[in-house]
Order: sequence, then C-alpha cells, then structure tokens
Amino acid sequence: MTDLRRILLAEDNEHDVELTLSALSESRLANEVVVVRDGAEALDYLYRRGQYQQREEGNPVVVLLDLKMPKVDGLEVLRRVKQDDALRQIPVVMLTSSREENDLVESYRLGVNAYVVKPVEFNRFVQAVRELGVFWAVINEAPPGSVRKGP
Amino acid sequence: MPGADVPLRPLSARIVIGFASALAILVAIGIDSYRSALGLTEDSRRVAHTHEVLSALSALYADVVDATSNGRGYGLTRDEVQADRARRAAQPLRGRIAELRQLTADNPRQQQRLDQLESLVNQRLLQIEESIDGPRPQPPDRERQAAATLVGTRATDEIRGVLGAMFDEERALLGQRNAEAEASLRRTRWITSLGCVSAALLVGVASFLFYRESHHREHAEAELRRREALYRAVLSQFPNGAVLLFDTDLRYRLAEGQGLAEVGLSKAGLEGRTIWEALPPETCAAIEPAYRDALAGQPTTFEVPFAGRDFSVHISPLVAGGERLGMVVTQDITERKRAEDEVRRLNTELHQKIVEATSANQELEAFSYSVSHDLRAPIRHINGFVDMLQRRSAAALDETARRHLQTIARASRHMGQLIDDLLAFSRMGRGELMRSRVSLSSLTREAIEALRPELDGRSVEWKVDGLPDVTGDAALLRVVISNLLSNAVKYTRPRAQAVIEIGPAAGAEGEVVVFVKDNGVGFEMQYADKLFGVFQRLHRSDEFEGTGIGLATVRRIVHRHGGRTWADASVDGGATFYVALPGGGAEST
Repeated sequence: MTDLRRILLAEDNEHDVELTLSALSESRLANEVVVVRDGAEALDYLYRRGQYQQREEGNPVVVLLDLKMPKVDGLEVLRRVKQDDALRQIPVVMLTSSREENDLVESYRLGVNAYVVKPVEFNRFVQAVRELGVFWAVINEAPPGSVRKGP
Repeated sequence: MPGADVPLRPLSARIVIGFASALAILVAIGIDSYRSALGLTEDSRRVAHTHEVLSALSALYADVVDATSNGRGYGLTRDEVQADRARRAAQPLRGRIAELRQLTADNPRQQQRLDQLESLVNQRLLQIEESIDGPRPQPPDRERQAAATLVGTRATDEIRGVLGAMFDEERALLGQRNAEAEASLRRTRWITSLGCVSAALLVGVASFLFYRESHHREHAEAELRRREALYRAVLSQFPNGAVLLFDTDLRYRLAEGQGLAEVGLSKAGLEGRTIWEALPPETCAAIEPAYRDALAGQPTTFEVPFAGRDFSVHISPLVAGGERLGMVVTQDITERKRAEDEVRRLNTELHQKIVEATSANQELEAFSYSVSHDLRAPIRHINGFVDMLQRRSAAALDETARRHLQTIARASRHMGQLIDDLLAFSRMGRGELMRSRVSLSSLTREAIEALRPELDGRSVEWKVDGLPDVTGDAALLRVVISNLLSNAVKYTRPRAQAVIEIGPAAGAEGEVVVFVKDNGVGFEMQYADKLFGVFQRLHRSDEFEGTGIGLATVRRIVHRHGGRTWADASVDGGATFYVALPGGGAEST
C-alpha cells in the first residue's frame, strides 16, 4: 500500500522544491514525494500520460500545488482535477506565496481542500509543510480512489 | 395680437332705442299738430258759420221790425213814404229766410223753426200788404184798425219768439264750438309740450350714452394701441433672436427681435412679405415644410445654420383672433454651441485622462502586487537557506561568520516585513469600501487590546472619551486606529509614564474629527507632511523600528473615505494626529 503515502508536489521554483523537500524530510516523508515542475507535468502525472505513462496506478494522497507555474498554472490544474470524476476526490492543497484574496476566493470556488500561504520565515515554513505532509499523508484517511486495485 | 381681449363694446342698443323713441315721439307730435290744426280750421269755420247765421237772423229781425213798424205807421198816417219803407223792408224777407234755410241745413231744429218762422213772416207780410194795399176805410174804422193792430202785434211777437229761440240755439252752438276749439287747443298744447320734453329727455339720455360709449371706445382703442406698442417694444428687445408670425399664405405678419439685424434681416424686409419674397430660395425650401406643419397644428424644433451663425428654431401653431397663424421663435445658439462643444471636448479629454489614470493605476497596482509577490519568494529562500546553513554548519563556523548569518537573517526578515506592509498598503487602494455605521469607541477598545503584547513591562495611561460613530469601512478604519495607536505606543517608549489620549476634536462643518495624542518624542513640524508619505521616516530604525508605511496607509484610507489627516507636534513635546471624516454618512467614495 505504498501508493497511499505518495505526495505530488507541483512547484516550478527549485529553491522552493529544495526547501519543501527539506521540510518534508524532517518528517521522513521526502521519499514519498513526486516533484513535477509545471502544471502540464502535474496533469501528465495524474492522467498517466507522457513521461508518466508507465507509472504505477493509483492517485497520490495529496497534491501540493503552487499557484504561479509555467504552461498551466495551479488554478487550471485544480479546475481540471475537480472537474474529473476520477480525480476530484484527491485532496488538493494550494501552497503559495500569494495572499491575494482573488486567488483565495477562486481556489475555494474551484473546490480546493486547503490553502496555505508559504511563511517567509523558514522555521514557520518548515513547520507548516511538515504539518501538511503529516496531516494529508498520515493522519487523513485517503479517499477510496487512491487505491485503484481492490483490497 | 394679445390686445384683442380689450372689450370693444358694440354701439349700445339703448342708444338706438333712445334715438328711435325720440324720433317716434316727434313724428307723433307732428301728426297730432297737423290734425289739431285741421280741427282748429274746422272749428273756426263753424264759429264763423254760426256768426253768419246770427247776423242773418239779426238782419231778418231788423227787416221784420222795420216792415212791421212802417206798415203800422202807414196805417196811422197813410204816409206813402212809410208804405214804401214797409214794402222795401218786406221785400228781402223771403230771400233772407231762404238764405237761413240754406245756412242751417245741417240743423233740423233750426229748419223746423225756419218753417214756423217762414209761415209767420208770410202771414205778417200778408197783413202788412193788406193794410197798405187794401181798401181804405174812410174815415178809418177805428175798431177794425185797433183789431188789425192787435193781430199784427201778436204775429210780430210770435216772430220775435221764434227768432229768439233761433238766436239762443245759435248762441248755444257758438258757445259749444268755442269751448270745443279751446279744449282741442289745450290738448294740442299739452301733447306738444310733453312730447317735446320727452323727446328732449330721450335725445339727452341717448346723447349721453353715445358720448359715454364713444369715450369707452376711444379709451379701449388707446389701451389697445398702448398694449400693442408694449408688445412690440418687448418683442423688439427679444434678445439674440427673433419672433415672427406668419399666416396661411406664409406671409410674415410680424417680425421683431434684436437678432434680425444680426443676420441682415429687418422688420420692414419681412413684414407683409411672403417667405419667398423675403428669404433666399434655399432657406425657403428648408423651412417651408416646417411652416406648413405648424399651420396644420404640428410644432417643430430644429437647429439650423444661417448667415454664419447657429440658430435654434421653434415653429409652433398659433390661433389669434380666430385666425390660424404660425409663430417662429429663433434663438442664436452660436455661443452656446461653442460652449457645448468646448464642454464636450473637455469631457472627452477628461474621460480620456480618467481612462489613462485608471489604466495607469491598475498597472501600478498590478506592478506593486507582482513585485511584492515575487519579492517574497527570494526572501523566503534567503531565510530558508540561512536557516539550513545555521542548523547544519553552525559548528563549523566561527563567531564572526555566525554573526554575519544572523545579520543576513535579520535583514531578510525586515525585507519580508517591508514587503508585507507594501502588500497591505497596495491592497488599501483597491476594492469597494464596505460602508456601515462604525463605532470608533469599539474599534479603539479592540486596537488597545491587540497592542497588549507590546506593552509588556511598560506603564501606559489610556484616556479614551467621547468617540463618535461614523460611517465607513469598518476593516479599514480599524487599520487607521490601530496604526495611530501603535505609533503612539512606539514613540512613547522612552517615557516612564506614557499618556495616550483619544477623543473628538472640533472640525469644519459636516466633519467628524478624532485626535490621537501622545506624550512621546514628537517630531519637528517642518517634516509633518513627510510623515504621511510611503517609506518616510523621521527616526533612525535603530531608534524606532518600522517600515514607514503605517501613516501612509492611514492617510490613504482616510482619503478614500473623503476625509483628511494632519499632525501637530514638537520635538520631545509629544505628537497629536488628527483624522477628519465627512459626517452624517456623506463620505465620498
């Protein structure tokens, strides 16, 4: 049941990827993280196409989405996931620099499960990411769709 | 013309009746006088006739007496002279009786008496002839003679009696006729006098009425002329335009107004002429349909250029004195049009400027948001990597290197704070104000509560009193109060006993003014206005921390509410900040 703990992180900034992985590693969750660098890649992963055609079946337990990404931005990925019957049950968390109310409102309108503003201070950032990872990957009971094969 | 309502009374019927009555009376008097004159003639003729009868009777009587006395005398004297006289006197008697019979032919009683008289006279005449021509007794027989005399005297008495009755009859007739004539005369006199007086009175009254009538008429006509002159005068002063009246032949009846001369037209050139006679053909072609419409009852208003100027023309139907007319009122709108064009141009310009300003503002907002947003990431990265460096390599670094790392961390934190403040400031300028009734008193209580953590170990005396309610955006006004109080707390830090006062102040009409006063370090008044600018600070950051955005935010929020802000302070003498908001909920947006 290793798939259950897989986290998809969509983030274009390498520094943020490194910091996020660093924070997750403190909770020993880093190995379960799949990193994609833009929205298009995130969708490829979720739909198992392109370079992810061969990946194992099963949805990630949570998707951490940055808002501003090249090609397809975070809001668009969110919209596509929530419109797709096969994907909509995946919890999606916005992990972003934006405090803009418009972004917040739009995200919730599209059905986001959580919206987290990245704290500027590293300690608090580490804490936030760690708690996120633990909550969604460990504490939260993943939706049935996360396990494609029957028990 | 409006003067038509002056009452012009028709020649009064009463005057006509008066004169007609007077005329009728005079005619009646004439007829009566004529008839009266005829009557008088008849009366006098009859009086004369009576006199004639009387004189005939007198003559008859005289002849009878003459014949009788001479006959008797001859009987006594036998004087032939007397016998002659008696014959001569008796001779006309029959003629006179015939004459009388003729004269009194209309009077049967007199005729009857005449019959009687005639027989008596004949009888008497026979006696006289007998006594003269019969055989004469020689010597005269006294007895016979005496008897004859007796018979003669009786006959004469009878004749005298009949004559007397006839006299009386005629005298009575005379008296009666005289009285009748007099009565008729009197009546005529009365009728004539009364008639003349009545006619004179009627003529007098009628003349008076006529005089009064014509006086009224004159007065009314004068009034009419005066009014007409007045209307003309008013119309001739009609400013920047003209008033024209035209009839169904499209002939101008009236043309007045100052504007006529300005376009080369004149009253004389228009009045009495048709449009085709008075105006250029192309103008006629343009206005004729509108003129016809007006005559048909349909008003028109249009704008038309004429003689190099612009005119507004209003053509409307007009019924005056039962006649169908059209009225044209023109107004020179050249200046107005120019002004309107100018206003339109300015409006367009203004609109353009607003669009530009709005677009520039939006760009600026987008830029500021984007900058703030994108600046956060590198700051976060610096923080993150410094932190990781400290955790993993702290042991390998010397004291100086560790201090440098701390400086880097502090500097980037400050940068982060600046960016957050800038983001907040940028956000203040956007979005609609959510207006509601806001209690400044509650906002102040909440703000003081939120400041508690910063007051650790300090002694601050709060004086909050008489704060009003205002209309505004509660969230933004909370920022205003919070920033002002936070400043006051910060700049009183050197004071052992800080005193911070918040209350209402006097302001201009329709304003609600609130002040926040502290006994802190204050500032030099010459820099007072700089305080409200973004990133403007009057103290070094190692004296008082801060980003210099708090007061700029206050001013921005207050301005958005249509209010104003100002400050009063002296170095080491504390500072007072004022916020004035439009009162009564009349804030601008």
